[in-house]
Amino acid sequence: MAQRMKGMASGNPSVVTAKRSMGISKTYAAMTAFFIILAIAAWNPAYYSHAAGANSTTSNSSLVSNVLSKAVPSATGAGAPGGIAFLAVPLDVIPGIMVSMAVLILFVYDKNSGVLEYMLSLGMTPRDIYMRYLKAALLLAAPVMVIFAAGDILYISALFGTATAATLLPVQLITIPFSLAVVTFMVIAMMAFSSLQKTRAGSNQPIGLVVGYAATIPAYLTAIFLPFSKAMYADIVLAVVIAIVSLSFLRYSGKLIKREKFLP
Amino acid sequence: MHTLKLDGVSSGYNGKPVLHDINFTASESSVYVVLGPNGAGKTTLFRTIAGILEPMSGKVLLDGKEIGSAKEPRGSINYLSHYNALPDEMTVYNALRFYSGMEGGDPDRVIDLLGLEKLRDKKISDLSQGQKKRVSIGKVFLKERALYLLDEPTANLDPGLSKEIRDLILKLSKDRLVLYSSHNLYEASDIGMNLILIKEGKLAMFDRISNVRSKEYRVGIRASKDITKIVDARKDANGYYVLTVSKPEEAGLALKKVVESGVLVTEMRELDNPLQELFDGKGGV
Repeated sequence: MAQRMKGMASGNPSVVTAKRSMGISKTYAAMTAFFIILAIAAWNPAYYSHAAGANSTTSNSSLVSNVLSKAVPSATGAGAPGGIAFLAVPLDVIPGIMVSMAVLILFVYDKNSGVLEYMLSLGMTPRDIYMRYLKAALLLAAPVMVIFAAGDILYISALFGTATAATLLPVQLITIPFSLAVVTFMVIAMMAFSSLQKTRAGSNQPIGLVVGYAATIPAYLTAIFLPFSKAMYADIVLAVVIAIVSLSFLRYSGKLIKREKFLP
Repeated sequence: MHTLKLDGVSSGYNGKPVLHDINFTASESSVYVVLGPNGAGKTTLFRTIAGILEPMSGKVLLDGKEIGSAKEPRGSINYLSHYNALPDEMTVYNALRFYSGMEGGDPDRVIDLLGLEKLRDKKISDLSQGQKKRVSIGKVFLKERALYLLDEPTANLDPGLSKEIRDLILKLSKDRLVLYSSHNLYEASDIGMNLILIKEGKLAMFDRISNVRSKEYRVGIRASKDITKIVDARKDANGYYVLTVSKPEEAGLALKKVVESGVLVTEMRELDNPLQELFDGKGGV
């Protein structure tokens, strides 16, 4: 038992931070599971059925997907997979965001309880601290997104057949790096806004959430206005841009956000 | 032996200075008591020395190395904030493991040293304020450092434990520098050898506590007989004969006179603390 306890509190700092996050915010784990199920069973089939042209899949698709397939125009015409399938990409970041919220809760908690101040006194820089929590968020979000993508592929195969699932595979494959890029951006934005808030009960953290999620807006536009193949490349470019912006902020965070902002 | 030097240090928050042009060199291995009224800048001083706040001007040097963004000198400092900085969701043992993972040290040794065995598997959130403080102090003893910055370490502790902690800190200070802030003036004079007085963000005094002089001393004497006819004293409500003198030596002469008159003296104590006058702005050296 002692060994197990030792393992919990020592070792890789990001693993410890990730475990602590899950320990204090179990609700977010439950919410993550809920959104994974909702995405796999409800909204993704709707976009996919429309994007696949609803040829052989009409009989299997849900009422929601039928309604959507009529309501949302395909950018490429009937019979070809539409870029609208890529609406799944910005929406599917939600489970990743949800699970990393627990890390953000921990960040604010550690700031208020003086843990961050103690870390600074040990010689950590603001960037070290941000990296610690960011890595923890990515450690939680990455497996969630991989499991989610795998579950999505399996469900789509069962629902529409393996051929359709293979056609839509790029969507799930892009969802993983895109989600991790958005999670990186959102976590950094939320930590930065939390660092800047003057009062403990301030509401800057949700501002970070809104700013972070705003990064996904271009992905909605590419899904609506571009054909499948172009939407795919556009989302890859978007993921790279979001990641570069996030990591650039992280690199200069020490200069942009002063150490005093980490004090309780 | 270590040396802490503050050279023209001004520091504060959001561009507004709290500390103004602080200069001192602490090189004697001992406890330096940091005194000052609330808001004087004691915590800001500690945070600046710890490298948490960057000085707006001036330098903080530990053994000749500037403390700032460099990690190495900051690794030689331990800062105990008046926030407990404990992860509430962890057990006492895991919390100490959490910190030993960051800075090194042996949690088992700390548990033995501070008698935390009974609390070992309790969650931090289930502890009383005093117990939390005790665990928080445990962080100080995880690893040996050159300089300890202890911001009111005995606040919320019962007198017995306060004494134990003070004894441990005194032991620590034999070959290290300890800066210790307290609002308890008797505790300060008990533990400290040197005094750093901060007032309105400025260094008001840096000296040995033994050099702090009062304008007058009140000495209480318990005796077997009335001594008011032997020396100039009055009896107070607590049963002390109170003698007011301008120098400590005069109290000794008065005591000698009382004893030579055949009166049995059972107790003699200083009734006021010279440090109190520093707070009130009357003291000096």
